[in-house]
Amino acid sequence: MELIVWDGEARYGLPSMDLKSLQMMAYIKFSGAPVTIIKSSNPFRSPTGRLPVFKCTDGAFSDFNQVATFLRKQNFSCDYELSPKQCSEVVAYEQLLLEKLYPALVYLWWVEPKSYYDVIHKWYFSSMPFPHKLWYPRKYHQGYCDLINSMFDDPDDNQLVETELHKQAQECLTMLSNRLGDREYFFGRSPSTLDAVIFSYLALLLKVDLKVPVLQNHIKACPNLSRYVSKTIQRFFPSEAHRSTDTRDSPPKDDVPNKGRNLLLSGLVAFSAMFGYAIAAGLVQVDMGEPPTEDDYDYEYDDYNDGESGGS
Amino acid sequence: MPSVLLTDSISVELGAQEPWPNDVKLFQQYEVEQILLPDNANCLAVQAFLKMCQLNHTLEMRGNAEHMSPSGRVPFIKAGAFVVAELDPIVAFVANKGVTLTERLDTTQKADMRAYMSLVSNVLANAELYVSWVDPATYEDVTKPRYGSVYPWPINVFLTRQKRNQVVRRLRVLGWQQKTLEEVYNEVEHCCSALSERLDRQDFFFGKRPTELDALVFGHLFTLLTTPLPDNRLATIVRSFSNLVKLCQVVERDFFEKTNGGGSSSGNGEGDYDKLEDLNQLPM
Repeated sequence: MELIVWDGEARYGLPSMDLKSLQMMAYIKFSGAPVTIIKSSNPFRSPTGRLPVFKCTDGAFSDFNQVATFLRKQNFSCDYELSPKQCSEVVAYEQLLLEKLYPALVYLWWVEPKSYYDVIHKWYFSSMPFPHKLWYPRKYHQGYCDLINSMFDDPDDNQLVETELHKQAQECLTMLSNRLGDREYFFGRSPSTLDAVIFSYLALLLKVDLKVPVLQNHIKACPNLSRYVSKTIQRFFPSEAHRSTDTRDSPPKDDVPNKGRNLLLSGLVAFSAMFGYAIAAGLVQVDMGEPPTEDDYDYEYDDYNDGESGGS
Repeated sequence: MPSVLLTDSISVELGAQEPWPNDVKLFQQYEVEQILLPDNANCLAVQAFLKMCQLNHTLEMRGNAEHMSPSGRVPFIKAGAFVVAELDPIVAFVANKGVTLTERLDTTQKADMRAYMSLVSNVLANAELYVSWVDPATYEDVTKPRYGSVYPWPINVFLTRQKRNQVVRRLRVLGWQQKTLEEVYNEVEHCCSALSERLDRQDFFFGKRPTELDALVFGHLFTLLTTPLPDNRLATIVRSFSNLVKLCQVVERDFFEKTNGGGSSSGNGEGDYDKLEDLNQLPM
């Protein structure tokens, strides 16, 4: 069994930059299933055309519920301790997050212009190989814009859209914080499916620095939620937690290494191109004619013999 | 930057100034010949909620109710100078006036209630939209004739087609249009099973007194049980959960029949509801 997910970002300390990938990874870690997790940045090769994709004996799934059902049939579940009533709460809370938090996350990441162009698009563009990077980010952006537009009658009124989405999201986050209280996980001492889902939303909203940090600040203002995210990452994704502290200690790396060398090379190329054009167009004449032969020289000398001495 | 606090405080300021007016009207489409499955569910849910809060209102039926509404969806209420559409804004509007059904619930229960309301709005409402507008059999036999029944030809054809495109587009971005009918029925069954687990043997979802969750569940399930469709799978699915059927019967008996018996002015069309007891004799 293997799971291919979107790559993470060490700078943010995230195991993956994609919501569904995080959900599936979290569920697998919580249930202890022996699944190899492969990081990738190219959905082109995936059998379903999307990432994440879970490959098993029953086929390839990209849907979280299908993966959870398959793993449960193989006896890998994190819901052993849940009563039927709590299982129904899991279903209800999944829908609550889908209704209130998902639109805000999608908007802040993919639709809001400042965050999309400066952070998200840049990340996807730099991680994906050519030529897929030209196609996929734009396709996702268009899809999510359609989603947000379908939710509002007047999608051009950005202020209204943002206010409404943020209001719903903040209410939802406050409800989650109240529901979690002082407990370690939402249903007792061990994590469940609900924790996998909630953790993925909170991790993305908390860890990625966007240009509109309203929801990030809201989560930081709920100490139990930020503690919940950090503890889960530390316990189940220790390599990512370690990597993020490493990068924070070292001095901030430049995005582009070898900046000086690149600058020099590009300067040289530009100069030689301009110089070659100038010569070819005749703007600059380089005196590379033949050295004067003896006949010429004598002719000139005879002429000047009458006048001044010396000549050339 | 979004100004959430400002919008909230404005609505509280404006809403709290007057008590509930005496002449509140609830607008919806014509019950017998026009209204469709999803709209009927929402209208019933709001009516149930207002009755549970004991807030007087009259039912007004208009052919163009959908276009009159500020959000484009029914039902909507007109209370004094305010026009508020859909269940959630109406609940908030009523709460601003100090009337609430959830004062004895703690924060965990309120969060649970909101979660179950999201479950019903996401699964049952979208399933109703799917069955009405995407399933070809139901669309041809039920939706198309009913939706355009109040308009003359040819505008009824255009409006129906326009509405269908809008609904299908919305279902596509939500991921519902790609589902098969069988998958939709499975989702409905899964949702009803979760609701049934939560309700268990209680009278209402949160104790002895109803909340807006009970109103919402009643609206959707009653509609699914009593609306005749070409394929009665949905009614069969709901009927298999006896505690949910009992909840609908209790709400109908306590809040709808009482007003009918009293002959109040809100009763145009409510006598036309098929009684739930009669349905138990229908062949399955």
